Amino acid sequence: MMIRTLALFLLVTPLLAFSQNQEDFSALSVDPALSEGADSVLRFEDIILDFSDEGKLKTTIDRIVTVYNKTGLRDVRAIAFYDNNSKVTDIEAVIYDLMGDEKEKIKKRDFKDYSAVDGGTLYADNRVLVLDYTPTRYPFTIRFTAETTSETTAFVRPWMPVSTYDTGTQYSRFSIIHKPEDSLHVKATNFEGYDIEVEETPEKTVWTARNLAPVTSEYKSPSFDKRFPRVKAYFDKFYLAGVPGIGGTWEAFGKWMYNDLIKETQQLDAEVVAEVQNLVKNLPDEEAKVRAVYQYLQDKVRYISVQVEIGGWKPMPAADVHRLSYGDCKALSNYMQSLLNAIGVKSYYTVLFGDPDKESLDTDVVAMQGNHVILGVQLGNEVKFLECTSQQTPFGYMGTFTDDRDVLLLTPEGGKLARTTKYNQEDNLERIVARLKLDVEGNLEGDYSETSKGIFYSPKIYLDTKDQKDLSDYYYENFSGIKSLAVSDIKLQNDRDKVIYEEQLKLNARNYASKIGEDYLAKINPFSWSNEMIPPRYKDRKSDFVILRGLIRQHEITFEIPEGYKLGAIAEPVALEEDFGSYQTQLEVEGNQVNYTRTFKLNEGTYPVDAYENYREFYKNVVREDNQKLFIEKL
Amino acid sequence: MHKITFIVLLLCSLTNYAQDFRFGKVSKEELQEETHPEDPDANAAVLYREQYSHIDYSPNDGFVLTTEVFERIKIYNNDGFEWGTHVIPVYTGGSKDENVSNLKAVTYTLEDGKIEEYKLDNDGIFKEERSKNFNVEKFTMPNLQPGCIVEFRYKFFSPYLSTIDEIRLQEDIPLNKAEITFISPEWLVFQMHRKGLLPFNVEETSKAAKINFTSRVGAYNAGMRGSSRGTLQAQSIDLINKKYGVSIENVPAMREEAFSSNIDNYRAGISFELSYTKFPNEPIETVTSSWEAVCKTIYDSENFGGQLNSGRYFDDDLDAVLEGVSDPKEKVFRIFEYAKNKMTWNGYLGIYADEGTRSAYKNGSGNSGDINLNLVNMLRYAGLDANPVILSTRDNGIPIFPTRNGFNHVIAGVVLDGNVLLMDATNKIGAINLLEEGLLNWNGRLIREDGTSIWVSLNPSSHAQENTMVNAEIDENFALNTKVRSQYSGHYGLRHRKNFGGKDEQEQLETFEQRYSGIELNEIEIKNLENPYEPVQVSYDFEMEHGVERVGDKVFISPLMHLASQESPFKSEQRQHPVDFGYPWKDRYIITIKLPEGYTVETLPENGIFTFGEDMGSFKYLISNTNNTVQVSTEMVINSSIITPDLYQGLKEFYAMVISKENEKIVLAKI
Repeated sequence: MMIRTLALFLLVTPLLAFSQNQEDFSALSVDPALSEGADSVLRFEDIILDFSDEGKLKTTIDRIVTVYNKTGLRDVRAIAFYDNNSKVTDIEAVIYDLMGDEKEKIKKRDFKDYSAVDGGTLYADNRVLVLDYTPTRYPFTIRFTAETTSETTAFVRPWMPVSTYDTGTQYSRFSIIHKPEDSLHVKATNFEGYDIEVEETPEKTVWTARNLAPVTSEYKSPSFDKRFPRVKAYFDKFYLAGVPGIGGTWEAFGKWMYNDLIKETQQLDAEVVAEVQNLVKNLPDEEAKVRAVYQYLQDKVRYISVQVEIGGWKPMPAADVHRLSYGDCKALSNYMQSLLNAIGVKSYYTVLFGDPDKESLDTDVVAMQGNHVILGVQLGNEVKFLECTSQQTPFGYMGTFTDDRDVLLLTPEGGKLARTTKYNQEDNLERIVARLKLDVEGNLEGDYSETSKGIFYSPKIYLDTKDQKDLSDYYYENFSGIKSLAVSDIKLQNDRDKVIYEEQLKLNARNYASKIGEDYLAKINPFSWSNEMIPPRYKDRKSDFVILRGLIRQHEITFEIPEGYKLGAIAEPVALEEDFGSYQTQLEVEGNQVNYTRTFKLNEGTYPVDAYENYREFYKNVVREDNQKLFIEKL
Repeated sequence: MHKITFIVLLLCSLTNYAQDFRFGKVSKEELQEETHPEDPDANAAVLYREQYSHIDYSPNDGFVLTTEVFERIKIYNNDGFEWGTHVIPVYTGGSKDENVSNLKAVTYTLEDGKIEEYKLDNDGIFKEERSKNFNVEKFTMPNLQPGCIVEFRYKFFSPYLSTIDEIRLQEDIPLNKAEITFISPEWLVFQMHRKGLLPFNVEETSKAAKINFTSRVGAYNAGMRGSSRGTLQAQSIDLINKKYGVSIENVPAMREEAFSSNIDNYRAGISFELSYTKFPNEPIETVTSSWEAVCKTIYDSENFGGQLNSGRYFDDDLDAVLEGVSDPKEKVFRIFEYAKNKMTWNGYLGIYADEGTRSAYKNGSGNSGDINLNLVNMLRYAGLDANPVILSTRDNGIPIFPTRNGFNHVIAGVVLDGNVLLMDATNKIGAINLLEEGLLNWNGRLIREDGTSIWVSLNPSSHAQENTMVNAEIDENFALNTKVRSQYSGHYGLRHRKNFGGKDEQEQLETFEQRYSGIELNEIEIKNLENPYEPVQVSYDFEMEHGVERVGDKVFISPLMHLASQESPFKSEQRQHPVDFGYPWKDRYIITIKLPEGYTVETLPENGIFTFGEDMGSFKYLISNTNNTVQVSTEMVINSSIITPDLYQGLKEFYAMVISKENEKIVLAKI
């Protein structure tokens, strides 16, 4: 009898302990408001970051997730990273079935242990423990607990109670524990409209969020950061893989980074210094010198990602880059800086986020951020930015990966915030010019040229690397609206000085015009956009939409009809004008020929959700007008 | 006369610079070469590849496989730099590990007419522990420049003798010359496998050899009376070594193409697999040799055949499933459905059971071996003629040679009324004789209980079929109001189940709108997504604004509307590899359009029939007009799932004609 009671007691205790958090493991007790349309629901989350031990971070994670389908598996996140400076002290997962009964327990030794090297990296010392579990039934619930300790305190992981799309959150708690003398700086955003509580004491801050409904991903919506609750925090002092660091202000932070991570890696041999000095000695001005050194860099090195020193934050020494002729973004930017030091030109190691969504460093959060490094060069009063990982990028060209965002420059005097080059609407130009001629058989023949500038330039660089077959296949894919197409005489011109890409070719489309009795029907613009350009439809869109960069896309076409035919009625010109963009066409008959122009513009900006249907309507009109046809009658 | 020609040829070849394929003997001419003479687009080329594999006896380790690799690679431009990084997979975790040694590598560049050498140092070599039993050793070459040459060589030791992994004789870049040698003692007999479309010779020779070793003579352990360690004595055994040699030159680069199956199937290569051992004074021990023997070996394995006799843990469950059923067809159906629901696939492929059939049955999950061997067991329990069928998925390539490693998946086959029914219980939306597309890879091998085996075709003989009926009406504003009903059967049905299953109506709608761009559906209803034995039925209706065009007082209608293909998938001028559709298919559309009042048909497209190859494909287009209602019916059929490159031009033409026909227009004039 005694034994029985004890067994019962043991069984009940964990459930009791848990029920204090108002939780149980059955998928049946989830509020439908949280699970509707969701792939998973975060039932319970408790994350504790403990900085109270000097130079150490202990992270404790306890998460309970109910998973509804295969997609929802990604939200389990039963994963823990470690490396030479951190370890996983505890990790476990428990699986519960629909009714909330325990089915399986997965211990540390049953987690898979992999090296956490992504495809783009040759080597890194990061490793990962990850759960490998095959659900046999959905929904199921999983509790994941882990404890890790690290000698890196520089990254205070952010709190995101809505962390991804299509998942609801029932309860999420986030605690930061620290020594009272280390004051915690906090940036909390987008709390409005959410049930979030904050408790604060001198050594501990706790945020708690309840009942956050799932959100669905929508085309061109503002970034997650701007829409949903988030806490970012930092301390004035921290450790990076055991190395102490100082922050507080960007100036101090930048000074520390420069002195402790960068400075001592910049030595070059005297003969290298002499070689570079010799290279530029007869050049007239600083820009010409920097250009020459940049060319020297591009000719010499290649990008290879190796992440080892200080958690991947310290660049490989410049002398090694010179010897090996390869390195990652840090190593190559740092090497370029060392080369510029040799000729007495000031430059700055520049930390930023590289991504096409223009993600800026959060300037309110003085801490380690970013995923990329470029080099800012002081030319007069201007800072010109150089991408050092590419052998093709023109001098000073940024492209969509690094343009128009806040970045941190490291100077000997300290860190400074700056903004990278912005490409305005008139900079981003794609211009197609075609002279086309229809013959009596309905075949179309002519010359095509395309000029790309601004953000349109960088995707074109890759054409240089294609062989003739791949190149013609590229055009067949690109001009997919033209049937039975043959292209020939392809000429490409990459003007790296002016940053302009030009393509020229001849094209020939058999049976381009549809024969109708004796007459022909033909699209005036073979490069017209198809329905695929129309933004996706949402019955109930929730978010605003963002046009990240203004742009202009022009077509200028002359279309000649064959002898013995005349043109039927010609479409009226069109002019659409909206906040977010405009579209204009013009047609003009000149003897046997029609001159057609078409200009499409988008204006940079964030537009309210109400305007989205209008935005779609605009594209629909563009597609319809783009596909205007000529009726060509036999005389 | 002949002699003269010979001399002339000889002279010609001498005027080409002579290449010295020894490590370090890179020539200026090689460094000066700006593009590959045969393939000017190539980013890099393998100038020379040497692989020398030999099995030797060592007194400590027994027989060990040593592979010596040497390569010289020319890099023409920046895009060829990827050839400056190399990865060597290393298996560990057995009783003895594989290892790499003597790695030496140099980058050569030409600077001011002088050859400069840059050696690979330790900081360019990386060892990564990928998982418990699998490491990789990587190295990346220093100082790569366009035009440079890299050379590397290393030794690779392996205690695993059962296979010599495929040695590639063809790459994605040109390969100028390769010398491959493999030597094994007569006691280990290997089967050689050649692969690819390119012919090459293998020279087989034999040579006498000797193995020296020392052994202890007179050693005994006599229990209570003590023991003697005996004396060491040198001994030797004579034997014959067998040598295989391949020498190949000027191999063109492989290129990726759309609609290909796995292009590795066509890549030239050679591999060896241990087929039997015959040591002196010992009986022959067969490992592999023929398909029969391979299958027998597999069947005899504890994790394969052993799993098919592992007791009857499911008896009671199955008796309930089969209660009152006597029709064998119904039995197959019930058991298959039961197995599908009982167990969930864990995502791992394998011909062998991983957890064991019993435990997989109990836990409800396992790899493909666990699940489908269970299925075979259950079918046999019900008295059916059921057997496992091993196969290689498309990703894995076609099993061209008898090899145990060639197969990576097992399914179940039941012979009923002389037909083989194939089933894969890992796929919840699959049906009997309806296998996942990735499995339709030539033939599978059915292995019977007595270990004998036969080929069974995996390629479906019946067409995947779409039947679509469209009813459209053009209203006074010239908008098209359209109702569509489609049925998808066979592999089309499977594909729809995969794409639409588990999605809500909004997502289904979006997916359909993406497929047929330019239409906005009002409503969509999809039936039979759960039932794989009935065609998937899709009904939807939409309005299409630009289905009708007005130019002047004429009206143009595209009668196939959203169903007309807009572009051909076959645009390239040439084709290296076969086009692979996966399965034969047939699309039939019947479209009825009610024309607007006050207009009459001025021109109607003509009827047409096009064919492709000898009964390989056809397209029919029939159109008629009665009382201002136009009816169009089309049928496109592809009878052969594989189209060889010699028929590519015909296929391309055929598609161009079909698409042009599908886009022809009806012209209306005002009355």
